[in-house]
Amino acid sequence: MTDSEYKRNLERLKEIESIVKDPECNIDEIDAIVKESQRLIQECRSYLLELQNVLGRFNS
Amino acid sequence: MMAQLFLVFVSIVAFVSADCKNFCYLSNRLQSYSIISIFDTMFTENENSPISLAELQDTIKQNIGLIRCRVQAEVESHRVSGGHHYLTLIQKSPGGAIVAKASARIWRSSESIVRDFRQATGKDIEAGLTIVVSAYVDYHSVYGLTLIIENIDSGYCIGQRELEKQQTLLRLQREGLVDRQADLELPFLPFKLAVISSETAAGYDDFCKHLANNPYGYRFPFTLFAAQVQGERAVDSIADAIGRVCTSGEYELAIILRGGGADSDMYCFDEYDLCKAIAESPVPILTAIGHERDFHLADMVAKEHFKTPTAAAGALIDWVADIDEQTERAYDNIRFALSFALKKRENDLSLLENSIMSGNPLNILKQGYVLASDEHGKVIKSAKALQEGDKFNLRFADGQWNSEIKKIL
Repeated sequence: MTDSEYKRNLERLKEIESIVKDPECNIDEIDAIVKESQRLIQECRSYLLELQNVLGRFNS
Repeated sequence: MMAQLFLVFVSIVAFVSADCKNFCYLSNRLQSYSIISIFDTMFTENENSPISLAELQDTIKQNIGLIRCRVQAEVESHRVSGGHHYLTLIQKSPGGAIVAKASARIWRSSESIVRDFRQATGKDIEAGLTIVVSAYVDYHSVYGLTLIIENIDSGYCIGQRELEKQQTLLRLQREGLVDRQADLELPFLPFKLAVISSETAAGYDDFCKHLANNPYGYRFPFTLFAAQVQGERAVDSIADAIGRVCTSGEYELAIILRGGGADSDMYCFDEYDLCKAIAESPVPILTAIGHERDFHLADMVAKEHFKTPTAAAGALIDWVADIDEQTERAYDNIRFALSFALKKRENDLSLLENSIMSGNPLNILKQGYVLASDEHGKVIKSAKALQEGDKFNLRFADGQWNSEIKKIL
């Protein structure tokens, strides 16, 4: 993952946050959107872990 | 006979009547004693019984007596034979004509005065040099008048050298060479370094040892450009080395090294040609010449100067240590900033995840709540939104009821 992809994921997660908090949202679409958010968060976490490892090498 | 005597007389008068002030003493002495006595001798003898040439010479010699004086004169010629120094001294008029001339000797037994003079002034006795000597006048019946030099005043020549130094400085200033190096930028690190020195110079050895034994363990790669750092060829040799450093294009910094020594050994560092070569170098040049008390024109025109080669080595070590410390500090700052940014991203991501999960209506249904929506899936928020007989859906966490309104209360 690149940093720009990470930022794109974050943008999409914010959109999802808005959708799930909208009382007018279609309840039938929620499941799919929430599953998408979990996938995006997992990708972001992997990227941050990668950065953490790089930083660890700096510190050592 | 009278004509010969007259010629001898004229030659003595020519010798002693030069308009140099330093000859006044000699002139006075001769006028007071010698010449009057010669006239007395000449005119008291019976003209019909001439004296011999040797008698005349003896008379002249006796009447000259012992004359010691300090004389300022220019060297017209100088040669060494059998350890003795043979000089011709002259005095010129402001127009350049020779107005006085005399032979002079430095006997082999006094040869040390030549060495001392060279040591003190850095100059050889050669044609064109003006010197002040302590001498006595010797009159030889075969070789005539000769100045026997007993000492050469090095202080006079040193004074002359200071004067020349001031004149060189004025010339360098006039030609804008003094600050030329100051406009050059030093490199970030002194690692493309050219050292101009003599491999056998003590200063070079001090420099190398001090760099090699630095407490940080830094390595300083440099290239030695061998040059003579004293003597007649020093100026050309150092200037040539500077030229080679510049044309190679491989060096960002050069340093001229020379340890301490006699003042006269350092005179080359006040020479115009060397200062010009330093000033015009596109590569920044540092100097470390001599002792702490020494300061030369070469130091003045260089980018920076250090008192000794050891001090220069110390400065290079401090230079790298300072950059090292700055780099370490910047490295720490970067690590801290990265760590902070990473932590912030992790927090932001967790907050977003929590926000999405807590806002998910399906999670609310799991707590026992039910969600009512119309036939199109739109959430119904008010009992007044529908009427009796309308159909709607009730959503549970685990399923859905399709319902119809029987009665609105």
